[in-house]
Amino acid sequence: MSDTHTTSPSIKDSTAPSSSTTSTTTSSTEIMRAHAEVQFAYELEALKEVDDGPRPEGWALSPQSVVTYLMGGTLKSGFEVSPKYFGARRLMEVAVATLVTDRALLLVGVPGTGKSWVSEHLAAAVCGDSTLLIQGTAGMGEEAIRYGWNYAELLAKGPSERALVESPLMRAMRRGKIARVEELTRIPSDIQDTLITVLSEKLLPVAELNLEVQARRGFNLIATANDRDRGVNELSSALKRRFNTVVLPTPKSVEEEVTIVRERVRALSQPLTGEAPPPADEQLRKVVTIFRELREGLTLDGLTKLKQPSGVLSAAEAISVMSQCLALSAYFGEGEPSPRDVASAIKGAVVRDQGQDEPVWREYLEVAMKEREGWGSLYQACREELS
Amino acid sequence: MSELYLLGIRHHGPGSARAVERALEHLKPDCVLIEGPPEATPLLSAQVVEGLTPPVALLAYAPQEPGLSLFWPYSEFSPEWRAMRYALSQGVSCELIDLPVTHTLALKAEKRAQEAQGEQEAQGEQEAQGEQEAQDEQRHPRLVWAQEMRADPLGYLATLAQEGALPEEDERLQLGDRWWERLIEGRGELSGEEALSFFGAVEEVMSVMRAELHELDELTGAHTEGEVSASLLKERLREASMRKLLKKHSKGKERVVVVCGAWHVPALRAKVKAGDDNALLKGLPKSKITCTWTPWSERRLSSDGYGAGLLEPAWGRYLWRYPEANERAERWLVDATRLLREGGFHVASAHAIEAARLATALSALRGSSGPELSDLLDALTSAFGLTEETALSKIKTRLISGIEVGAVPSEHLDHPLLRDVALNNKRFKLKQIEATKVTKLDLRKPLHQDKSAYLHRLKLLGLAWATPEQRFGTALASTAFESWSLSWAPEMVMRLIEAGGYGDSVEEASEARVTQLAQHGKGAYDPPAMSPKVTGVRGGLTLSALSELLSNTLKARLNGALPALLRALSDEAALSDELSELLDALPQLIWTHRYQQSEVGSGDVSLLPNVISQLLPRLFVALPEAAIYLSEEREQELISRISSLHRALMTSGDQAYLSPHRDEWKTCLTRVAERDHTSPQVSGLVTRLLFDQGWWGEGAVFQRARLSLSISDEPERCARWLEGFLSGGGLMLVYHERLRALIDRWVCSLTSEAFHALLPLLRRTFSAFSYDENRQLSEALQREALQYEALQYEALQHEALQPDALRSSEPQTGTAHSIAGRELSQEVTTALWRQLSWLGQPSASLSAEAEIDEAPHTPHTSHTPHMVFHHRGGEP
Repeated sequence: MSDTHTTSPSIKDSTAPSSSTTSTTTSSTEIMRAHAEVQFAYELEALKEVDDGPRPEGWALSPQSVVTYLMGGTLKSGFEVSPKYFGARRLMEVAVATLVTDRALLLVGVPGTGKSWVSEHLAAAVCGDSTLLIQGTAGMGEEAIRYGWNYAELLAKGPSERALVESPLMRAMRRGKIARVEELTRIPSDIQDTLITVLSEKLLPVAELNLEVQARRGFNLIATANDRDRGVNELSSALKRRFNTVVLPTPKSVEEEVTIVRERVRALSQPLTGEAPPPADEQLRKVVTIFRELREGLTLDGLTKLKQPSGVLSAAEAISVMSQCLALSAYFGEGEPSPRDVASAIKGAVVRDQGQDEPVWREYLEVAMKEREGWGSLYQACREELS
Repeated sequence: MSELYLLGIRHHGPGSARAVERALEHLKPDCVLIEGPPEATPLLSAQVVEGLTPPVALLAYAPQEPGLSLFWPYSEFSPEWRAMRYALSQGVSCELIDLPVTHTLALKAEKRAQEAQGEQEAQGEQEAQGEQEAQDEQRHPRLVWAQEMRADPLGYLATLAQEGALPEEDERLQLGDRWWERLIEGRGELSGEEALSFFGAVEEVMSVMRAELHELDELTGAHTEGEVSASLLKERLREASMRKLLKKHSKGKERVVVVCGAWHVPALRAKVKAGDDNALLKGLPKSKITCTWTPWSERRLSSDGYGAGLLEPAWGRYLWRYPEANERAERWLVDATRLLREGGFHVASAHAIEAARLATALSALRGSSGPELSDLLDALTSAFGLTEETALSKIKTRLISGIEVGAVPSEHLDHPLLRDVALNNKRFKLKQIEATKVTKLDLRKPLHQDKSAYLHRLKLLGLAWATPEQRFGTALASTAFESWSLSWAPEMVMRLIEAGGYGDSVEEASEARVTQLAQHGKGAYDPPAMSPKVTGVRGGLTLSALSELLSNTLKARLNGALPALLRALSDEAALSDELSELLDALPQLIWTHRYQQSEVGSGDVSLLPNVISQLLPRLFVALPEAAIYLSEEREQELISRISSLHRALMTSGDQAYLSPHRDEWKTCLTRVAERDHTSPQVSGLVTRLLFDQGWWGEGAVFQRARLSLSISDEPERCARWLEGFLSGGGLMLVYHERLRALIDRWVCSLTSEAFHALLPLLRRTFSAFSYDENRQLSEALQREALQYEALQYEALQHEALQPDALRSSEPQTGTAHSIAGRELSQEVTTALWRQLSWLGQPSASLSAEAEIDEAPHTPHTSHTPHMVFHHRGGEP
């Protein structure tokens, strides 16, 4: 009882200045890609208005509203929330419930299953701040996770709190926000393990200053990991134990995948081309079909086996292919992407390794595409692109 | 007029069961009526029900008609079971009400007879049905809807209720079941009043639904008598009968409680004239039936389509035992953790704690009052990081579907044969469990002898419970040991009940069945699927089937069946001359005879030698003719048959009656071996048998082998001959240098293509050798190779390269050819060695030796087998 009593004022402190902590200096019309909490600020606001469920400490919304924000739906006020994640509601529920139990969340999946997208929106909805981000890379060191030093200050005045450069993780702990680690498996294993103390003890020691940063309520971590790509570092079992895992699957059906690609392409191309026309449905379907078939090594009707290319052909690839087509046609074409635009974009995505993938692509054209009704022009364009 | 309370339940619903129990405790009725077979009421005595361990089932069967039966399964948490337990413990009257099984089974039998009869007319009917369906489509849309409602009333209700509150995707359950489970079965503890108001609500909902349906039926004219579907008619009959029995049993009682499926509640409440019900029930067919309790299993509970089926019996157990959702979740997760740990997953209690927290959070998020099964599964997967299906599948079978089996004490089994089985099981400490269990028997011990006989008798009754495990690829060999694998399934009770027609004890019944099988080729109480597909010359069992039956009958110690069986055997033997029958039957008969003379035998089989002596000459005449021009498949069959007959004839001990036949066998084999057109592999095998038996000397065999490996012959024929010849093991090649050289020479003569084509065949042949044979053979080859190496070195020094002359006993056939031959031979040796190499590396000394030897001849080694040996030294 006393616990909640003492901490409740501090929540207000930490939630109120959420937008000011994101130190965006550019105005929102100029920036290329707005943060989720900025882009969907009106939705979050609307949700907050009708939200009467109990909120865990440090949360901006109740867990139910977070799920609604992710999955979309109509609010009591009649407000329409757009869906962010297309897939099983179950998975989002597990993800949100995990954050409620203050266990760290690990989103696992092949590229393009929406890991980063979900992680960003989760952070935006839970604490109103998706910017506390650590991008995992192969060459990163401990200071990217823990803290660094302002060397001028350090040399001039010696170690002090002023000389300390906080990592996003440390900032999140201090403020009771969600920290995000992207591509956890790209980080070298020994650096990954730095997270163990933070996750189990919820504190980050600064040995040099003989002090420690204790996480405020509301702090949590969402990590994304890729289990299929080349060059990944397995998580140690000690670290794995500290996460609840949610595996995001590849879209179940063509329809689902088409929807995902369409929505994402629309969202991406808006700032680029202004009033962009929505991607042509038919072409989109074709691209998704090609990607699915090559990914599964089987035609959709399940009758023909196909060779698989070396790269991962995820929904993300389909999205980038479609965006590229749209951009090409918007600036150089007649508004609608021509088969040639599509063909060259697909080839770029499929053929990563000339020697290995080109025969696969060529075979696909002949085996799967050639005989299909209505695919003639795309097939021709692809053939021309190859020769 | 007595007070009437109708408790509408879902069969096997743990929440319904709890509500029923509370309602009964609250109402304290003096009469409890339960939906179930009325004839089984006498089985509901406190003493009987106390002794049962659920899941159990009430079983009603028609003794005269095998296979005609009905089950009413009950689990620990079935509302009917709880009601029974309550009534019996309180000593109030307890009756089962439904359409009497005597009618139900008779109707079923009629329908079956009609189906059998109407098969010719089936086509016409199908067409009519097609028309009917076409009509249906054009019908009023509300009728289609009504049909849907009738098919799945709960689903219809759930659609009406807010389905948004339900977990969105859950493939385990249909919408209706899911809705019902969340609303009712997953409920926690409740008071008596709450239970009563709950049943009131159920009744109200069902009444509205049935009224609606009735209205729809009337609207569309579907209720007219002529069109009433079979299932609807049955429902009417059942409800009429329930009403009738309700009226009868509630006479003179103050407070009557009825526990029945929720769907029937409005029908029982309805005011229908007794005369109408009686008219409906008049003139129904009857058949003689018997009822009994029988053990049931959770697996069977979840798989059969009994009413509103039960998908998760084990989960139901948790729902019943732990009314409080959080406690239930914790128990379940702890059990899951233990199960995973048993399965080799490194999971700790900390995982279970995290999973429990996550499950609670999930259930709060999904708006349910406590963790449900879907929350638990999601939490388990996420907190334990289980990505493999295998880990989950075990949890699903053990903690969701369940593997428990119920028990019924033998004295309460109201079926003589079932009781006898139960008594025997007790004596032999056999448990009717579903998991496969292996029992090993030592037949020198009296108890084990009896146990073996018992298991053999059950097998002879056609019960698939115990199957003997094959030892050394044959069950014929006389041995004092037996190994049985036992795996019970509740449906086997059905077979026992059918088999009850043969007799009242296992011994009596199996003896009767064997006698019938011997005389008529089929048993009177067997389903059609069990009768043999091939019939013998007398129209009964074939000779081989009879000899197998004889062997099993003797093992089952059913001496009473022997006279009939032996008579049938000798009758069939007198007429049968199908070779494969003879070949199958004879080894069995010979072994059976020998087995009965051993210390563990018991039966009188003095007639057998006559039968055998009568059959063998016929076989000897037929075999040489049958061994020619065979397809490879037939050849394999014949080979295994010849081998087993040979083994039976030659190793079955000192049998006076067999000795003349052994000489005839030699003559027969010689004829087979010497015929030109005998299939090569058979010929090879027979040559080998003659050689092993000492009937042919090395000279004769060598000649035969040279002939069969003639270079002019097709290489494939030769290879198959070789396979047959070497099928008895490779030791002879070690000791008979001439044969070894002969085979070597044949291999060298092959062209490269032919060799590659034959390699799989050769590999198969050589891989059958034992380790020791391989080792000795390779040593012998190596000795030769070193010899050859030395000679070649010598020859090189004399600048006269003619190696073949030095190693082969054959005259020279031209230097060029033999050099080519030598190279190939090396390739062959490499190949042979490769397949030998699974034995592991040659000893270190061997390769070291080879290395030292290699040094002086480096320029020439590429053509010598020596190189091969060195090379293989390095092979893994």
